[in-house]
Amino acid sequence: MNPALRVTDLRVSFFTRRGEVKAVDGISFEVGRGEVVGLAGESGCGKSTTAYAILRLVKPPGRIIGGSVYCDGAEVLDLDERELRSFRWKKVSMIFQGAMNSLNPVHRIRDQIAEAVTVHEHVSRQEALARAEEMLSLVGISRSRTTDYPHQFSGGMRQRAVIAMALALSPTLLIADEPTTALDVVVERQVLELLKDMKRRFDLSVLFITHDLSTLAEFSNRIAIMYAGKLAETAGTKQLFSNPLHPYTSGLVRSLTGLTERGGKLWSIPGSPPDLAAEIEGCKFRDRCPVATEACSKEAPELLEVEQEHYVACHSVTNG
Amino acid sequence: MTSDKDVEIVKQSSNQMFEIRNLKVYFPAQGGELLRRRVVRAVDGVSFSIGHGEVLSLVGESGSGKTTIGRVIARLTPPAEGAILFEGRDIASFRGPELKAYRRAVQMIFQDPYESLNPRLTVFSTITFPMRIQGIARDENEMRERCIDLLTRVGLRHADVIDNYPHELSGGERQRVSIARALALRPRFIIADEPVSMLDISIRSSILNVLTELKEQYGLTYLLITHDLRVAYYTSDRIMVAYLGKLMETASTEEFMRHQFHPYSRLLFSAFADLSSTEQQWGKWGTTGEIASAIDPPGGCRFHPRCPFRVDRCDKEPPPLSELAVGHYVACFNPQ
Repeated sequence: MNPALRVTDLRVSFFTRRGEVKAVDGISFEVGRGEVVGLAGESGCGKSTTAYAILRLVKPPGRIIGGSVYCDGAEVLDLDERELRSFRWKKVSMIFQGAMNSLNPVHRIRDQIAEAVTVHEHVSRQEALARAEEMLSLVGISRSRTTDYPHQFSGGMRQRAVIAMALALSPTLLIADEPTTALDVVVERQVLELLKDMKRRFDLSVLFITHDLSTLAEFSNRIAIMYAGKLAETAGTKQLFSNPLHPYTSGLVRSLTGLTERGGKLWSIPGSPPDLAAEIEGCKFRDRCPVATEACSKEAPELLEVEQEHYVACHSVTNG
Repeated sequence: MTSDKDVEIVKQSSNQMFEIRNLKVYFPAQGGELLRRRVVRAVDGVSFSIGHGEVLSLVGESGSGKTTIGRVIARLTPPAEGAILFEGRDIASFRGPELKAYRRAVQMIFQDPYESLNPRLTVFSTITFPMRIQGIARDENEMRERCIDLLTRVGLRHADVIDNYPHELSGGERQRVSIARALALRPRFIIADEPVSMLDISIRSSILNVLTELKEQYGLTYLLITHDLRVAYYTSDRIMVAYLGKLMETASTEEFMRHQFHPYSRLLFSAFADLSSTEQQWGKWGTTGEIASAIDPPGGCRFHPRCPFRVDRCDKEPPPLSELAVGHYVACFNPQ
């Protein structure tokens, strides 16, 4: 069966005064039907840009300069404007980072969702409102609150409304960009449970973008780790946590589990990510890497399968 | 109104740097009806103490009042009621040189290293600014020496950053600079308000390591304000949980991690145990809603509307803090 999403050698650059910034530098991955894939990395690694590129939402000075995004039988990078409009929301919808704070303050929650429906589907206002009500009740917002304005909602309720809106047109693929980041721990947990529930109910495929590996532990089937515009490692979630192979991944996992073991020094990765406007030869992680060798400064490592369904881009792993 | 119990807790340990007695902080609420000015009860009757050399974590969600408590101790916000005693003396009474000395002894590190550094000052000016204000190290050479020493201690190569502006630094580097600035006056007490929550995971632990090392080097006392139990667990001697302006539970870190009596602490704990927790553990919390507004906080126990363990008394009277195990205080009528 075709995957819900297949990204091949995707490249996105920003053309700034300081030169070309290769935000996404040739990445390939798939999201299978009904699968939840986590795309994780630090700020600036290109994970949000990847999401924007999938929906063709990259704005100048950024540009998609190569690769392919194949989704639901169509090459997204070849769609014209009209086709794009029906592709977005209906095939792939996205929960944008901070979306809960960009709801229109002067419209009722229910009306905003209904509007999203009428823009994309030929339905009457009545039907659209009914759909909005139904979606809101699915995400746990009681009927009496659906005509509230955004400011009357708590953060968690606004995020629920955003999820309802994203799912109102029954997309095949949902891209969620840091959907829980601004929320309190308890509410974060509730929203994650809601997303799990919605995934089951609608048989969704999900690309879940986050800087926080721990939110992926329970939710995702597979995790792709991104660093400085490239994929460092992809593996099944259990595999990635129990046997991380890329030095960057193992650093991340160690600094995460370090916080659950008390005493002694916490593990941390030295340094910070490189400047992507500079031309970097070889592996982009090598300056922070504890096992870097000469080979790492000469040639960029390719993402290779080292065991079943476990891909790593690291010379020290693939060369033994 | 302070219950006797609260005062008892404050008094029980003698080696204290701070005693906070029945602290209340109210803010005027925005909007509302004209003649009915409403207030936000950000902190509503909180008593605790901080021992010399102790690292105390104040844990809670947004709206718990944790940041306000920190600001009142730093004398950045005046309390509506209650007192804060610093080594036995009320900080509200400090004037002139005493206040200046207090401001020197107590420093703050803020959450957002992008906001808390002046974009027009170089790292050198940022760090030496408090020295100039306080009139120490007047000589430019001495200032430079001190600045270099501080940068080294927070793990920065001074030659790389000393003449840079904040926008030229990464988030982690900026937070190190804010720590160096806080240390510039050789403080004895540091209030760190969410010092790592804006940072990437790979950088978080190195900043926590720096804070722990500095504590040893300078013999500092910390109040660490965080929403992240993992951060509290790693760094602190004692954990205190706040909810809607009240304290719910406090115990030594080890004791707290072993057992949480208060249902709210349990909820926080299970929200965090994500790497190992099971669905069953979380199950009963699924529909507990969100923190209420501090404008009209729930009567009785502040947590009762969300609490699956509530009993009849919970909506009628606020439960006092009682000691359920040695040094383990809980404000709950139905502790678990």
